[in-house]
Amino acid sequence: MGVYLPVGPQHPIHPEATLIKLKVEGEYVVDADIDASFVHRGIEKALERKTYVQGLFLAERICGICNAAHTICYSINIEGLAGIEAPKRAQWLRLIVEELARVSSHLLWLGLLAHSIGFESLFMLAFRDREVVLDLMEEITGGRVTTGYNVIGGVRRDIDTATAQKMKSSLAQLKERVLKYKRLLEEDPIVRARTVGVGYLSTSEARELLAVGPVARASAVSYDVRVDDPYLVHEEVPFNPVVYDTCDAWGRAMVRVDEILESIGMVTYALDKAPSGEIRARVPPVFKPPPGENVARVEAPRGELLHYVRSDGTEKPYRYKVRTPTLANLAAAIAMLRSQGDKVVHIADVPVIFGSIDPCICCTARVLVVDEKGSVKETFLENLPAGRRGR
Amino acid sequence: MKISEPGVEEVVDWLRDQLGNALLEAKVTGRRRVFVRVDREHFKASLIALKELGVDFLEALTGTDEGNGIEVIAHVGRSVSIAIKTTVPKEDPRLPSLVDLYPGAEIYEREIWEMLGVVFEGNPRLARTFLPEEWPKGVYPLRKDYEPKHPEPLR
Repeated sequence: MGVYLPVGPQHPIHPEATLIKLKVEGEYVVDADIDASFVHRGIEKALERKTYVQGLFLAERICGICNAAHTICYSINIEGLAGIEAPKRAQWLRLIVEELARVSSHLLWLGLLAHSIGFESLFMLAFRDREVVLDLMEEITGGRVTTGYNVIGGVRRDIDTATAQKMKSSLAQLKERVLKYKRLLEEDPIVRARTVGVGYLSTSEARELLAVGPVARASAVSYDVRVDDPYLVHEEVPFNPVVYDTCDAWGRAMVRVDEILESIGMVTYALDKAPSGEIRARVPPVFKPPPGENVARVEAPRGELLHYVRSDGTEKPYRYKVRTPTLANLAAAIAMLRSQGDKVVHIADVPVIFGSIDPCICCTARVLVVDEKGSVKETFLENLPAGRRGR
Repeated sequence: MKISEPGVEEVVDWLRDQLGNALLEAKVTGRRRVFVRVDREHFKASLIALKELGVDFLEALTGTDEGNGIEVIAHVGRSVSIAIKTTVPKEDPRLPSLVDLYPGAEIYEREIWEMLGVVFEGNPRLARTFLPEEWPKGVYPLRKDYEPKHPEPLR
């Protein structure tokens, strides 16, 4: 006999509305399920009602933190469908922005991990260092978080030599700090006590439950879209996919910290080696790709992101499907939360375990909440008054 | 553990060999992209055949309303992306569940069941996950006949 214990939908550790339904026996969690219905936005339906060019802006808003990954995926998907090729330099610039976004996302996650184990000073430090990346992002793209950088056919802005120089020196400083955090994760007894062996997910479970991204790579499944199915210039930029075999929350933290270091190396390399040239291929103003379908995959900070498009020859997609990494990792998270055999899961570890997949429920479910003159309502995007659209 | 997977041509040859006439159409659209259409009875069989070939990763399930039927696509593969497509009629929207093949498919099947009303027979938990509790039964928001309504504003 167990007791049902709801965690959420409002919980201090999780900024997003998720309900984790736990079945507990004493202090142990024996079963779990997740309800993500609080934040469904109907973006896939809305994308069917937008033109391809308008859809890019909506795709950018699927997720705030991985907006670069979503726009890259959307752009290469539509480019593949219409047979457009982005210029070489645009692909290098996309890679730079993608990796910067990964650094920012992983630092944010590191802060949230620290927050969920009660290590508030590391939370503050990680968020302070994330500012370095956000400032660089603003310098390159014009936006700190929602970058609006990628467009169908290329990117909007180029990076000049002075900015590149500034980026290199800021990233070198950031690297020193991240190395410090890596040592801290390796040595600090409190961090280790709260993460080592917590949220165990064996290699076979990770494969069966179709985990992606750092969750899979911390369970010794070497799967990284950048290596297995390169979509930008990843073949020309040297990097090592990070794989750990500890299968726990600590391993997931280490994968992410090592990936920050790899990404900093990739950005620095790309700033030196990117060829000069055009940054954007022209796309006709009335854009109608031929009938057909296409699949694009991107390694977002949280794991493999998949976009599927089906065109019927009109200026709006017939179907647009987005599979976000968190959706792929939810099954793994549920498995991590269940006590099985020797593995016991304590209620106190639930925030750390659920946090260790880097959940982004808004990506997964997608609801729009619009604040209009102090009142809050939920609606589909196309029902917004005309003046507020596109802003 | 490094994953090694076959190329697209090998995948198409293998499926042709295993499924025979049940494979209705195979289209290679890129270096690592292939779209395969099979009949409904062989949807699961084709995924079993691919697993024997070493493709053991289900990326996603996509459902599309095609008017009279609902097209279900299983995207599989890591270094290649293989789309296995089949169509089920709207009067009888049933498919065998893939949960015994891929335990992680449970949540993808739930999504298609909620959004398009395809019943995956054998899924242990076809329960509400993405739609709110008060959502009416039998209304599937991703079907083309569903028109989103403007909700009453809260004042």
